[in-house]
Amino acid sequence: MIPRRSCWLILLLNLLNVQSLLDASWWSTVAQLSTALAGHNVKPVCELPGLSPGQAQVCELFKDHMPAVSIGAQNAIQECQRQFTGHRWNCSTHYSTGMLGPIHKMATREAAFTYAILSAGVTHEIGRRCKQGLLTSCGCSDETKPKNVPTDWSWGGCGDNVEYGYKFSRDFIDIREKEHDPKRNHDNGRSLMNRRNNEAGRKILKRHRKPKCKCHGVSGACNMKTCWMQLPSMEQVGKILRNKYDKAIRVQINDRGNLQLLADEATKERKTRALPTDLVFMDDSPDYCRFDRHSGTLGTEGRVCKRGSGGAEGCDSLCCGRGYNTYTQEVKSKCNCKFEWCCKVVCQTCNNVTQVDICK
Amino acid sequence: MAGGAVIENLSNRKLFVIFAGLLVIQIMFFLIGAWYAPSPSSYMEFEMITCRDETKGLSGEWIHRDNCQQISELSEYTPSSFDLREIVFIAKMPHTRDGIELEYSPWFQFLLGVLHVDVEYSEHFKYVAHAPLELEVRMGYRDKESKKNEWKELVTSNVTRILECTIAEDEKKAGGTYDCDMLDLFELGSSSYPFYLINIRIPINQQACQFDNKSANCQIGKLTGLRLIEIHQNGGFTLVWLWTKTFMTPVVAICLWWYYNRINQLARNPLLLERAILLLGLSLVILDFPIEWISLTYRIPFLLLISDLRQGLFYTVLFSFWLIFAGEHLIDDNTRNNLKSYRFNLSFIITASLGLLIYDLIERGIQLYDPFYSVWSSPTGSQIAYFAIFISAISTVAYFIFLFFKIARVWSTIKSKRSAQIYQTSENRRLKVEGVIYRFKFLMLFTLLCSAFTIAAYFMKQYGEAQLHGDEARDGFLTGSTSAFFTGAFGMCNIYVLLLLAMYAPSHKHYRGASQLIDENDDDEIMEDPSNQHTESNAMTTFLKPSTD
Repeated sequence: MIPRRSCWLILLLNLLNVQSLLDASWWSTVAQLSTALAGHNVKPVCELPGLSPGQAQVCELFKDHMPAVSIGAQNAIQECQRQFTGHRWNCSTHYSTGMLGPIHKMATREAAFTYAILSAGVTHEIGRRCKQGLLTSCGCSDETKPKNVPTDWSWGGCGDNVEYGYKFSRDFIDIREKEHDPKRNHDNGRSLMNRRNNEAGRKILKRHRKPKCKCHGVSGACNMKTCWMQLPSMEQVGKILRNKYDKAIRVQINDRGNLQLLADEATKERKTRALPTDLVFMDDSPDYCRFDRHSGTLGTEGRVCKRGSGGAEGCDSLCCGRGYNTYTQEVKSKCNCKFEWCCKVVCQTCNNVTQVDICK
Repeated sequence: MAGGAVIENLSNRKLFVIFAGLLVIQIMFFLIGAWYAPSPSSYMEFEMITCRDETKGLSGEWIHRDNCQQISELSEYTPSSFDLREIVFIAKMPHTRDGIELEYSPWFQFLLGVLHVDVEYSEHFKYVAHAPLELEVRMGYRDKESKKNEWKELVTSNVTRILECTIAEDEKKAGGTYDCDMLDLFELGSSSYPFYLINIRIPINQQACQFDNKSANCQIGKLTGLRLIEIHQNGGFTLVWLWTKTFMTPVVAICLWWYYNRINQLARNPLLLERAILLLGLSLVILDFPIEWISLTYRIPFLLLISDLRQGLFYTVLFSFWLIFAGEHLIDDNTRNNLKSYRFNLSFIITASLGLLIYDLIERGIQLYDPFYSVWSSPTGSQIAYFAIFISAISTVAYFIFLFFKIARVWSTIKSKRSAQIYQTSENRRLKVEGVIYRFKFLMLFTLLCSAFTIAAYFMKQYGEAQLHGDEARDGFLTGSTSAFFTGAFGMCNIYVLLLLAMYAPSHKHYRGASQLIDENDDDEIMEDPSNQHTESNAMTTFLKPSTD
C-alpha cells in the first residue's frame, strides 16, 4: 500500500506541474480524485476543475464513492492500453501524465471506446466496493426486487449490487452530458453519442455476468437453489469492447436532434438499427502517425515496433513508413524463479541481449 | 351398505365437486407462494478484505474492519514472514445498508457460505490441478447488545478443500484469470446471532513445499482474492411457510384421527393397504409439524438435520405406499395383504433411503460440531459420499422400474378381468363395476396429474429463475414462482394424502361419526348380492369377486 500511495503522490505532483499545458478530458480529473481523497484533505475535493456542476454535486453527496470512481477509471485506462498495445493509437493517454488527452474533442471511434470502457470500469469498481462493504449505502442493494416484496432486508434479502453500480455510474457520468448548457447546444450530437457509448459499456458489463448457483436442498439436492451473478473481469469487458470498436457504427445528428445511422463506407451497407451495446461514432479518426497538438495525437515516433510482423504492431504499419532504428539492448530479466505463495518470488537475474526496433 | 372404500360409494357429481374444491385449494397454495412470499433464499456477496496482522494471529485478536491495516493490492505486497499468516482475509457479515448495520435474524433458519477463490495466471506461481487448499478459519459472532468490535469465538477450524480451476489456452498470460469451482465453506443450521466475523489465513509451509509440492497451499497459484457468498432463507418465506404448515398440521391430524377410528371400527383387521395409508398420513403429520417455531426463540442448530430426516421419512413412506398400492391391486397374486411379499421391492427404497440417511448424518451431523466440515473435502469422505449417493440413485431407478412394471401389470389385469366379466353379470353389476374401475383410474390419474404438476411447476421455477437473472430483471408474476413452487408442492403433498385418507377410508353405512363424504346412498340394488353383505372387504375384491370365484 505504501509504495502505491507514494506513487500517486508523485503522479499528483506531475499533474499539478503540467496542468496548464493540458486540455484535459474530465476523466483525468476523476483519476485524481483518489489522490485528493486519500490524504487528510481539508480543501473541498469536489471542486476540481473538469467536474461539471452536477458531478460536483454528486461528488459532495457521495464522497466515499469517489475513490472507487477514480480506481475504476484507472483500471479502465489500463485495460484500454492493454487492448491497444502495438496499435497506432494506444489509448495514448500517458499514464505518467495521467490524462487522456484532447483526443476526445473529436467524436471518433477511439473516443467511443474510451467512454464505454471508462463507464464500465466505474460500474465494475463500485460493484466491487459494495461487496467489500466499503460503501455503506450499497452493501445490500435495494435494486431489482419485485415490487410486492417489502424493502425489509430480513423479509426478502438484497438486490444485485451491480445494479447499484450501474445506476451510480449513470447518474455520475452521464449527468454532464445532460446538463443543459446553451453554449454546448451545437454539441448536442456529441452528448448523445457519449451517453450512448457510456450506456453501451455498462450494458456490456451487465450482460456478460455469469450466473453461479449453489444447490442446498435436502442432502444438497437442487430443489433449493440460490444463484448469484458473477461480474466479468475488466479484461473480458475490454476484449468485448475491442470487438465492438471494430464494428463501431457511424452516426450523425439529424434535424430532429436524434442520432441517425449512416452507411458503412466500406460495404456501402446501411444498417437499420444498432444494438444498445454497439459503439457509435461521428468523426473520422485523425492520423495517429504524426504528432499533432491540435488534434491531440502523439504520433508513433519512438514507439517500439516488431520487425517483420504484418499486424498493427509491425514496424511497417506502426512507423507509418518512416522506417525504424534498431538498437541493441541488454535486458535484465528474472529467471529460475522459485515459488513462494501469493506475494513473493525469489529469482535470479539473467541478462539477455535483444534487439529493439524503434520507429523514427 | 357394506363394503368398499369411500371412493366406490361416491357419485360422480360429488367426486367432481371434491376435485374442483381441491383444485381451488391447490391454486390457493400456489398463489400464497406467488403473492405473499419472497423468493425462498437470497445471498449476500462479500469480497474479503486483506489485512496485515503482524502478530500472525498468535495474539488471538480478531481482525476486523476497524483495526485492519489494509493491503490494497495483494500482488504488490511484500510479506515479512515466510508462512504468510500475517495476511488475513476478513469479512463481516452482513453488510450495512444506508449506514445501518443489517442483522441476521433467527427467521433465516440456516446460513451457508460458499467461497470463490480468484486465481490469476502467473509464470512463477503455477497453479496445478487438484491443488489442496488449506484455510485457517476463525468465525466469531457478536450479540446485539455487545460493543461494536467485541467478537466472541464461534468456531476455529482448519479447512482443507481441493481447488479445481480451469483456464482457456489463450488466457495463459499475465493477467489471465482462472475459472475456479466454488468451495463449500460452512453451513450453520440456525442463524441466531445477528453478526458474524470471519478471519481466514492461508498459511504456507516452505519446508513442506520443498519436500513435497503436493502439500497444502503449495500449488494454488497466484491467489488474488477471496470472495464469500453467504446464502440464507428469506425471513418472509419462513413466515409464509411456517404459517402454511401450522395451518395444515391440525387439518391432516384430524383427518388422520378420523381415518384411524374408521379402520378401528371394522370387524376385521386392517388391510395392509389401509395400514400403509395410515402410515403415510402419520408421516405427513410429522412432516407438517411446525417445529421451526421453536427456532425463532431458541438456538437449535440440529433443525436442518431434522427437517431433512422428516422429508426423507415422508418420501420413503410415499414410495413404499405406491408400491403397496399397485401390488394390492394385482388380483391374481395370492400373496397380497402381506408386507413380506414386498420385501424385495421395498428393499430398494430402504437402500436408497439408508444411503441418503448415512450421507446426511455424516454431512449435517458433523456440521453440528464443526460448521466448516464437508464430507467432500477429503478423498475418503467424498468416496463414501459418492458411494452412498450412487447406491441411492441406482436403487431409486430400480424401484421406479419395478413400480412401472407393476402398474402395467395392474392395468392389464383390470382390463382382462373387465372384459371377462362384462358379459357374465347383470346390467347393474356391470355398471357398478365400470364405475369403480373408472374411479380407480381416476385416482391413479390423480397421482399422475400430481407428478405432472410437480414437474411443470419445477420447470416454471427454472424459468422464473432464468428471468430473474436475465439482463433486465422483470418483476413479473413468474419471478416469485420459486416460492410458489414450494408452497404449491407442499399443498399438493397434503391434498394428495388427505384425499387418500378420505377416499380410501372403509365406507361404513352404520358408522355414526361418518362425514359427508361417505354418507352416500346411491342405488343400492346391487347390495342384494349376498356375497358381500357381511364382509367388509377392500374395493378391488368387492367388484372382482364374481369374476374370480
